[in-house]
Amino acid sequence: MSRLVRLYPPAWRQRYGDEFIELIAQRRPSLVERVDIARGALDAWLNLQVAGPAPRAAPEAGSSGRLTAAVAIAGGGLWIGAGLVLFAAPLNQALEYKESQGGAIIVVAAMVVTALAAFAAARALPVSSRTARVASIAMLLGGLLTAMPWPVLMVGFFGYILATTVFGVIVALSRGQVVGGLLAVASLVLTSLNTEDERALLTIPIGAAWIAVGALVVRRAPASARA
Amino acid sequence: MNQPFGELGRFAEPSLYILVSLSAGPKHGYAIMTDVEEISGAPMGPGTLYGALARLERRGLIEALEPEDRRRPYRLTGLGATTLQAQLQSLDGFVRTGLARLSEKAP
Repeated sequence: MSRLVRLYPPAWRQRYGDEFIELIAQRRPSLVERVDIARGALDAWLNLQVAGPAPRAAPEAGSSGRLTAAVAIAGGGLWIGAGLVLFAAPLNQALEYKESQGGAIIVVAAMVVTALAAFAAARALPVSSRTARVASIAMLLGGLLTAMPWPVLMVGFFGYILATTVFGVIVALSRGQVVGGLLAVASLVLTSLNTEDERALLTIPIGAAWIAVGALVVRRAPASARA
Repeated sequence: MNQPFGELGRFAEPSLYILVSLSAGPKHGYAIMTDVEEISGAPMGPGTLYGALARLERRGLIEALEPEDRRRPYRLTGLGATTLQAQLQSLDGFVRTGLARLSEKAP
């Protein structure tokens, strides 16, 4: 029976889990009731309703929160810088390609730094913090693979995008709808990145999104920690 | 349904049943489920029950009491009683109007 309860978010289980298990132990759920439980779990993920202070809602504390925010903002800055460097890169007349190596290094740096910010921020998320941590590790691997030669770099690049989208969705579900949504959408926009033309500037939305993540971490830190 | 039931979406009707059930005294989840089944003639699933309980508790219409073993009873708050009364009066007016109109049209 406890398998059914595992469908619910951790914060919900912490508040209602014991009594819910007791309830479904008293009457074995029918198929229709199992569907009802699955619907209830989906609702709880999409619209968490827990009375009182959420058990794991207090996110960052003290200097670690500020450090996470600083890393996220730095990563966002690197993404924006990478786009500008790629856009302004000179054309190699012989190869008819832009000299994008400098920009590519900054892209990899941005991926690694934002992955570290995501890992640090994940433990403070009230929803799916474990999945968020896994996503941040996938982002880091994606960043490192992007430093490899083609075609491995493509696997790394799109892996980072996928993992960032997942992380953004989890942030959105953790009462950060705007910032998480912005991050998820901006990461998907990154699939259209092209270092050879103005699409190099498509790194700017994801840079802005990571800066917003940093601002969200600061805003959620306790007032005493911000002072 | 009126506020605050209107904002409860698909949980509005189950919430009303739960408040009516708790108006007779505190009950835990299983007792609410069986009582609601008696009142409404239709079973209420555990997912719907706890979706509605969480919303009612968050809005201060019910409150949780100390658990008895692993079962936690809930009771109606003062706000919950007032809200339920207003809702039932509104429904009563609606029912009376409907019945009166039907009787006027009856051959």
